[in-house]
Amino acid sequence: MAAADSCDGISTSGGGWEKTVTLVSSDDARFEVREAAASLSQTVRRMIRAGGDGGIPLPKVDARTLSTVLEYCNKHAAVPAPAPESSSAEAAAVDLEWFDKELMHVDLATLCSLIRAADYLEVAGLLDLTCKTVADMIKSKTAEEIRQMFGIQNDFTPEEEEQLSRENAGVFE
Amino acid sequence: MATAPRATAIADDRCCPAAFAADGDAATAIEDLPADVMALVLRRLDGASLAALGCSCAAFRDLAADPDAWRALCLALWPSLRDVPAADHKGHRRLFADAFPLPSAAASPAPALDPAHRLPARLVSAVDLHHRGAGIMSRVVETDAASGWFLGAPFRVDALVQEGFTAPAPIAPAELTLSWVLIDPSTGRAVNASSRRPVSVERRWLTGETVARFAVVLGGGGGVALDAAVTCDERLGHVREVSLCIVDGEGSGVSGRDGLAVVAAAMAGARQGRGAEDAARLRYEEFVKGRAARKERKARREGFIDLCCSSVGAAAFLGFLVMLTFR
Repeated sequence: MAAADSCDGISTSGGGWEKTVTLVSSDDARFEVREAAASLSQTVRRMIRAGGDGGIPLPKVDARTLSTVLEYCNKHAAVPAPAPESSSAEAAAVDLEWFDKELMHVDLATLCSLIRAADYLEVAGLLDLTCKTVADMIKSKTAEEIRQMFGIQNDFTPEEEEQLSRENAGVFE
Repeated sequence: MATAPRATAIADDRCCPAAFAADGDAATAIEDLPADVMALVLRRLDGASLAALGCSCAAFRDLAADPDAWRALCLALWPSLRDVPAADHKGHRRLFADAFPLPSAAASPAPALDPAHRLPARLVSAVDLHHRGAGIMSRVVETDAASGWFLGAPFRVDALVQEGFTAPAPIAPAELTLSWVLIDPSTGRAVNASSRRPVSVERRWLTGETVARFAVVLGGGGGVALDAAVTCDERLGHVREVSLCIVDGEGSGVSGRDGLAVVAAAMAGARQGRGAEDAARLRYEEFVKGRAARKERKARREGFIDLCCSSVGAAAFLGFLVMLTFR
């Protein structure tokens, strides 16, 4: 019964009073979030439907990452999904784009934990955004520049390396 | 020596899951991301970046070798490849590495040195014509390159067999991009025979047509040029001809046999990296300039021979007159 109620709550919310849920990170920090925002995460949405009291445990996400994810969810849940052809909708889209851009101004480790969290929480929009950010970082760089950026070791043998450079001659340098 | 560090690396990897279980922050490096998430990243890369990523370390090499990703990339770049049977080339990754960069200027050795039996017997052309980024023609042409007729006649492949076609909008020839990938199905090698952006656009006042050339010059000095050209009527948006010829330093067509040798050498030869498109234009300008200079020299020589002949003739005539007078 509780599950059916919370489902209705999602679809009819939008008035003054909104339902909230509590999310618990791996380091036991508690976040109270509007249900509409939390439902952007398919994982959380399923857990809400399954019911349960005392907060939803998210053992794979730490507090710092979760707060960023929730920042994203809050912002994106506030925008009405069907965008009519009006100037205010356009302005909202521009604002959202700017917000996304600002949110991605983080170091690599944070970005990677964000990707993991978005993957685990199944926040499609955030996963898309973070993957795009990483892809943009890789674009138009050489192998050596990629190694430097990600701090990875060149673990090829000289023979392998020679073969690779022969196969890819002129492709990216 | 090389195996020892490997062994420790593997041992480290084995430690990783345990470390991750103990502390969530341990696995935040990019190479620790799950493969399905990395696949989402890879799907957003262009071919050159994917190749660069594949060359950065062994883990990424295996990830970046995904045949589906390469197929999707190649089809996005060359929609005409859809019609080329997959068995015709060894993987789209290799095709991309072959056909994406332009052949290097020094790629072509003297065509005569190539033994005739190594020449491709069949040549597949995957031709894509875009206008302002929108595809207006994609076609695959197969050429029987073994026939005596092809080998003897000047090298020419036509991508438009019928009367041509009309694009939905008027065409600005300078904004056409042409990709012409030549594939040898027997070896799976390929080469890009077009400079992508036009190296020259010339208007023929007599017929009202415009010819956009996408030539790639091979070999130093006079050299030869793979001369892909699009002939169109820009006002009507009518594309009349899309063809590939091979011309030598004198501006005359190269025979099918020699042309095939040039193509085979370019397939096996080196490729040129970034900035190749601008270089192609410069090379073509030089090629044309060289051709003009050679023509001028030839004309001067012929003029000189003409002068010699006529002066000898005049001297003979004068001699004859003198002989008549003083007889």
